[in-house]
Amino acid sequence: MTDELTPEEKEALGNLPRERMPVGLEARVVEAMREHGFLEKRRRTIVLTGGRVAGLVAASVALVIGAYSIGLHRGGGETVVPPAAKLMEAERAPVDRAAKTPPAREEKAEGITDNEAREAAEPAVAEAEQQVAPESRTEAGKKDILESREEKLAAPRTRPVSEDEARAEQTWQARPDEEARAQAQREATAPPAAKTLAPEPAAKDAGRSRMMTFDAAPRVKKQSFTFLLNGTPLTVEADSVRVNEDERGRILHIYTPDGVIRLRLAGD
Amino acid sequence: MHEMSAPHDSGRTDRELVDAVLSHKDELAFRALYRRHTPRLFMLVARLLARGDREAEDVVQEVWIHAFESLGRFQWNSSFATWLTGIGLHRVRDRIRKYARSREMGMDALPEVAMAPDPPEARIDLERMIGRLPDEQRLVLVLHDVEGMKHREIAEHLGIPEGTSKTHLSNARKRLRALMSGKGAQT
Repeated sequence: MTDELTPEEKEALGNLPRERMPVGLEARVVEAMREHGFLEKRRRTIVLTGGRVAGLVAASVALVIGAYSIGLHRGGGETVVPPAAKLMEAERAPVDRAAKTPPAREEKAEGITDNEAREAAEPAVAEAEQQVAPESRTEAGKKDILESREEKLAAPRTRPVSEDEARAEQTWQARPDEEARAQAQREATAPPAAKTLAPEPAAKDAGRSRMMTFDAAPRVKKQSFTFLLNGTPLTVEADSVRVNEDERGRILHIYTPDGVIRLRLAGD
Repeated sequence: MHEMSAPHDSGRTDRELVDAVLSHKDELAFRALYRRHTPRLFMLVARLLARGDREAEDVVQEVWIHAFESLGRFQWNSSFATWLTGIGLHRVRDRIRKYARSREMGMDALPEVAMAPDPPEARIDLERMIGRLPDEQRLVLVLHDVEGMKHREIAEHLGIPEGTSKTHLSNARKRLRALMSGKGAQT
């Protein structure tokens, strides 16, 4: 037997397959090439087809409508109250809640005399003051509330206001005792079932609950406050005003949508 | 027949594709090259190694990585396929040496060249018989009788004298005939 291949052997060897593509190796090699920096890192390309564009537009419209609906539902289309003013709301909530008595109750209260109403209102006023948030029961907090009630913010209102405006302002402003008492009267003369809506077990929870109540209440964008400046009336449009006291005297805070204006009151 | 590329790259030469990979890290160009050359490279490596597809896949992956690492030295005096085959042979030789060292140390768990008679149905399986040849004989037989290389090229690729290549081929053919006839001859 020679070393040379026979024709059959040559044919058999020549018929052996020369090519075979390994399954799944391409992805592995491409990844290895990428890891070695020979190929660019994978980039995801999003092709914008007609259907995708339509979907994006529909999603955008739904988002805008949803946001608008939420805004209408939560804010009633009114402006947002600055945080500082919200803090003040929390402190005054118990008194303000009395102002939210439904109009039907107010009509009922009209039928009683002032004395009867005042006597009936005393417990409600006391309860309202008891429910002031703990943090506002500090000396400074108490003083703020008392001052704001007693002083009626330095000067009386000079322009006439509608009944709605007045009620809304009561929601945001400290009121003189007469107003608080009148509100308390209305609450006191309201049916017992309605009064039970108010009680909260803990002061903190009560504060949070009151804040939520305020969010749902109708809001006034701006109100006019008139002060006497050296005998000259000065009218300011603001969300609310408040008087605080520090070691150097009293400070008038005027809350506007653009910020807070602080005026130190002289001559105290 | 080396063409197995994607249609969009069928008109580009190997050099154009390589340049696209080198200059733009173009993945599509690389895939076109891969599909064009891997089937033949893989078959050759798998046949030379005779250790299963997994081993051959590992070697092919190494070949591609090494090829692009050393493309700067490639002068394009030969075809890209020839150059790739050369890298593949070099890698196969390294692997076989590693297997030999492992065997010497008694650590090789891979199948050794069969000494026992094969079952009748396997005797007609030329591919399996080639796989049962000793490594050095199998390399020379495959490169010479299947791939059509000359002894000079084989000697160059494998780093052995031409005479050694001829001796290995002669022994390989004898042994293959013995295996095919079912004698299980040993050299």
